[in-house]
Amino acid sequence: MSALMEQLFARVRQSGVIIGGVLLVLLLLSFASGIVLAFFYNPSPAGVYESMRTIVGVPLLAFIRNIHYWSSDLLVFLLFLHMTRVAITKPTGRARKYAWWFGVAFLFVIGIEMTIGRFLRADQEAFDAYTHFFLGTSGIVAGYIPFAADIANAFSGSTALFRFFILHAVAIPVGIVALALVHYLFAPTFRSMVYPMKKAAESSPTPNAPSGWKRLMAFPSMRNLLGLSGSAIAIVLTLSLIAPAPFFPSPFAGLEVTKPSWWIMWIVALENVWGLMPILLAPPVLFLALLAVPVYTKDRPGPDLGTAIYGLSVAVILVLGMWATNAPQVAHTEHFRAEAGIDAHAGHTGH
Amino acid sequence: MRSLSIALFLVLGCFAPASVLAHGGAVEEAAPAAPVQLHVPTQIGAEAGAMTLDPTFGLPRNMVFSAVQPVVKQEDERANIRYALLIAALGLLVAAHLPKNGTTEQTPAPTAAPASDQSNAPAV
Repeated sequence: MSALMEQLFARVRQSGVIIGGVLLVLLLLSFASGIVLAFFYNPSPAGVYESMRTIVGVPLLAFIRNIHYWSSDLLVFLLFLHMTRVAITKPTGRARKYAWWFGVAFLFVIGIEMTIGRFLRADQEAFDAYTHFFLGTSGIVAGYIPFAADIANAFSGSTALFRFFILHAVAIPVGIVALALVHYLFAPTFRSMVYPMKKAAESSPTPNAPSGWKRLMAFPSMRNLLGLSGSAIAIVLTLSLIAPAPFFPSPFAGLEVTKPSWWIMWIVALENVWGLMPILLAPPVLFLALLAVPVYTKDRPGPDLGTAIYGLSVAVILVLGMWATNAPQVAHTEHFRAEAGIDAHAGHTGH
Repeated sequence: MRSLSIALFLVLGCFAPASVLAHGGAVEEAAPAAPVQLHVPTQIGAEAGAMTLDPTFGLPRNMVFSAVQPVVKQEDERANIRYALLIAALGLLVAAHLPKNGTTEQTPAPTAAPASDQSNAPAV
């Protein structure tokens, strides 16, 4: 039993170091599926929900949308595991510290990308998410930072969806790729993963020498990477077949009746207690804590302040997330507007 | 130490599915009792109106809530499964890096090349 456990743990350790490579595969999968969806998406207010209904209604397009949803979902899931593996094996030394900081920036941009992706769904949940953004920016942040109101205005009105679409489909993906490249350049495990590819490419084949592919697969890390990536793709495809991505009815203005994705649910727990303000304070606090991890990590075995900060951050995300998931739904934006005394019909046209 | 961490993660991992069973994934409304008809001043495409316009506009809040509740409930159940899986995976990862003496085990870089290929292994 003990020997079996040791084998399992050794396998987990080997797999842990190549999760970063699997993340890259999932990123490419979400990019590819997103490009296909973009051909059928209409980012105009008049046609957006109808285009989403078309995508959901055509089996092949719905399957591709499911792939887009589950690949990004698994990406976030594996990001937790990847960051945890790095945190417990200590992000010390200049290269690993920079890799960690660029990784945190990568996580931040992925979070923005997935949030905007929710806006683009154009259903009730999209509208709830957008209302949080709009009220948070124009109702709270603008009270402290004057230009925040201009940002909110730039992303409102009939051009809002198109601008969000450009961000989601072009601008932010470019940023994600750039950050990923810099992150991989610094990450020692990635450099060592590239090594077998370089070796396989550099070798001059002789008549009896194995092919480049066989030479590549002679490296256990390459076999492991191929196996894990294949498993990740198989999981995404299976989930895409049996568990369709959620799609709510067309939005009903002014009401908050849905909950956001699981990975952001920890903020909902704080909103349930303190109202809208935590959506603006909680993410910066989390990212500051994550940025501080390498600063307080010591280059010696065993737990230290850095690992404690990381462990506490993940524990807070999981415990608050589970709590909010199972708690009654609370209408934060409705409460905010009611307390602020904002005119119910101000600026609302079309009725 | 390792057994303790595995036990801790098992307990946490059981919390999520247990809470689903306890609640049945049900979502109860804790919003204002009276129907609310508040609107964001500048909404997604409010000028064109199409995205915000809905044939059900003006219906009481609980009717809209009822319409979306099945999907919300399904998403809550899926979220609980994700949390349980994530906690189990994190527990396994942490346990795998905890040697029996309680210190963190450093993971070797994945450069385990065949013997003939190790001469130029990079220093990582």
